[in-house]
Order: sequence, then C-alpha cells, then structure tokens
Amino acid sequence: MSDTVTVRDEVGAYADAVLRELADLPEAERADLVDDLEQHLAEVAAEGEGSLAAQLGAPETYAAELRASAGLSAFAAPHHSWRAQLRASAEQAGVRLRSLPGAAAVLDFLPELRPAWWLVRGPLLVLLVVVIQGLGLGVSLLVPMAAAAAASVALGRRGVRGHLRAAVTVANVIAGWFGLWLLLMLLGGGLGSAAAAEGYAPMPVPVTSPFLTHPEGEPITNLYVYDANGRQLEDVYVYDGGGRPVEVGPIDAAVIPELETDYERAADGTPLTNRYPLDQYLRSFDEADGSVVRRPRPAPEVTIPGADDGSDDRVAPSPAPRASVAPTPATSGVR
Amino acid sequence: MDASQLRKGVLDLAVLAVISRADGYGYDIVRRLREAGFDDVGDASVYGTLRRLFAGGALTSYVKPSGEGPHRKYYAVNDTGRDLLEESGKTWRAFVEAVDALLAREDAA
Repeated sequence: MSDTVTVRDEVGAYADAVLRELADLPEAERADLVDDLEQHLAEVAAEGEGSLAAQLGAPETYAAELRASAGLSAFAAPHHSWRAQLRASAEQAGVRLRSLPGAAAVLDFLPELRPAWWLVRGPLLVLLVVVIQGLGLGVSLLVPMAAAAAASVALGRRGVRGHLRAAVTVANVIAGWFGLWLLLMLLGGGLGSAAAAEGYAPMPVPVTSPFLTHPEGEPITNLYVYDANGRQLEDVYVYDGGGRPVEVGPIDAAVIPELETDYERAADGTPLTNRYPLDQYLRSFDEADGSVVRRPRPAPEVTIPGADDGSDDRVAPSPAPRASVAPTPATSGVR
Repeated sequence: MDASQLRKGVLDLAVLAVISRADGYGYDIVRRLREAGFDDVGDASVYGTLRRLFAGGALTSYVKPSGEGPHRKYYAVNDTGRDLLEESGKTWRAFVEAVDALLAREDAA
C-alpha cells in the first residue's frame, strides 16, 4: 500500500515540476496538458523501472520537449519567479544527487533530523538576542533557552501555514546562519571575548619566547646592521616583508638578567621599537662601593664578508682618492 | 545520418497514421510508435505533437473510463486530420521517391 502512495507522490512531484515550467501558458491550455501529463506519468511509473526522472529525464527537459513539439514558444520567464527557478534547480540537483551511490539513503535520512533542528533553533535565537544586546552569558539564560526550545518544538510538530510560515522560514534561516557562525567561533576559540564580558578572564597566553629567535630557539635581543664596507649603521628602522616593524620584543629576564633597554622615543613619546641597534646597558654590581653600575652593551665583534675589518679606512662614502692609490696588501682583504 | 532527426521531422505524419488505424490514448500511441520503429521518440514529443494536432483541429478527443485508472483521454482522427494525413502522405512519398532517385543515380555512377 505504501508503494502506491510513493508512486502517486512521485507522479505529483514530477507533474508539479513540469507544470512550473509551463507557468506562462494560459490556464485552459495548461489544464489540457495536465490532463494528459498525470495520466502519462502514472502509466510510465506503473510500467517502467526506475524513477520517472530516470525514464523520462528531468522535468525541465520533459517540459522543454513538450513545448517544442507542441509548437509552443520556449519558456517566457515573466511568470517564473526566482523562487520557482531556485526550487526547480534545487530539485534537479536533488535528482542528480540521488543518482550517486548511497546518496539516496543519506537524503532520506535528513528529514528525520528535523526534530533535532526544532530543538536547537529556539535556544539559538535566544542566544542571538543576547549577543546582539551585549548581555552576558550565564546560568540564568537556561530558563528562556529551555522555553524557546519547547516552543520551537511545539511549532515544528504542529506546522504552520500562510504568513506565519514565511516568518518561520526567515527565523530558520537566521537561526541557521547564527548557529553556523557560533559553531565556527567555538571551533576557532573566538568565544573568549564573549566569556570575558561575563567576567571570566580569558585564558592567559604564556609568552615563552621573545618575538625574534634563532632557529634553535635562542632569543635575539638586538640587531646590529652593517653596510658592505663593514661600517656599523646607527638608527636603522627594520621592517618585514609585510611592512610590519620588526621587534625583538620584551627580553625575558631569565635570558639576560642584567640587560636593560632604553628605547628611542618619537616626539609624542611612543617608543621606536624597531629602530636598531637598541640602546642597551648591562648592569653590574660594583662590589667595591656596593653601587649598581650601568655600562653600554658593546657592539658584537663581527666580520663582514668582503669588508676591511670594519676599519675606518673604508668608511669614506665618496670616491676617495685612496682608490687610485696602490692596492692595499693582500692580507687586508679580498677586494 | 542521424535517423532520429528524420523521425522527428515526420512525427506528425506518423502520429496521424497510428491514430487513423485505431483511436488511442497518449501512452498507447507512444507504445505503438515505438513498436513501429520510432524507438527513440521521446514521450514528451509525442504528447506535444498530440497537443498541437488537437489544437490544430486534426484530432478529436474523448474520455473513456479504464478498468484500473480513473479515465483515459483518447484521440481520434477527424475529417481535417484525414485530409492532412493524405496531404502529408503524398508529400512524404514524393520526397522518398526523389531521394531514392538521387541515390539510384549515385549507385549507377
């Protein structure tokens, strides 16, 4: 018996889809076509094997063929609302999806999930109001959320018609999108700010390393820049490939306890944290008189490839006369 | 050559011929056409053709209650349809003769 019902449903759905494609025809003409159509579909369904779509092609194709052979013009869109088109293409996609192995079982299972959605959408809408109003999250929310769940399930079980139905559709869409957003936020851990508003402190992120480290994890505490001649440059601003200032960051006291950094400051007082080398001092305790001595941290001793030991001889920026003088001894460099 | 295109071109004639032998309802006509060699004719094409011939006044229709279903719409050829069938039949035969003659000359050459 249930087979008969299914067949009739399938015929009805297919006929509806075809008629939607004929929506622009005069009523009398359509009525004539329907007469034949339902009769035909019932016959095909009773006789053939497989779904109507498998035997006759998609309803849209059927309608187009019917139009062409009946000498009717191709579908004129005006009566065809975008909703009908959307529905038709969704149905067509559904037919195609169904033909995939296992897809039919999954699709048939979806309606069974509806009660679960009814249960969730109510509380979701309550949560949305809370978030929009900027109210805090708390246990007191459980009461309105439970009430909303109960109301939404009751609504789902009873079903609605008319204008109310449109309202429910809108509410469903809003709840759906909000639910999706909430899920993404939860997955991304982005709910911390909402929790903080309620008074829960966001979990502190332990800073275990300075901003810049060597590959092995040893902190970089300062940057010294040299030009090709081995001259150390002062007051150099360093930026990364994204144009963001490169900072060594707070230097953990555990790394170099005696290190102290004095940042150069802009006119308005903001520290210039990417201006190198940073002015750094090393504090030491003078045992003789018991005072704390602060002395500038010395620049490291480096060898610049191809430069002349960083000696002042090579610093002159202008074409120095010594360029025309006899070359310096081979021991002084490779240039 | 695509035979289905040829069949489509003479579908009017074929449908009229089928119905002129015996009245029939839509799907019955589809079946009889398929048995006669129009095996790849689309269901919707036949129904559309029936619709057009009916609207053009070549067919009449009447409803006949069937055993299991509610009713079936039968089509019958009227005088206009018979005239059309005769006309179309002549055109078809002339066309076939012309093509045959062309093909015969090709063979002889």
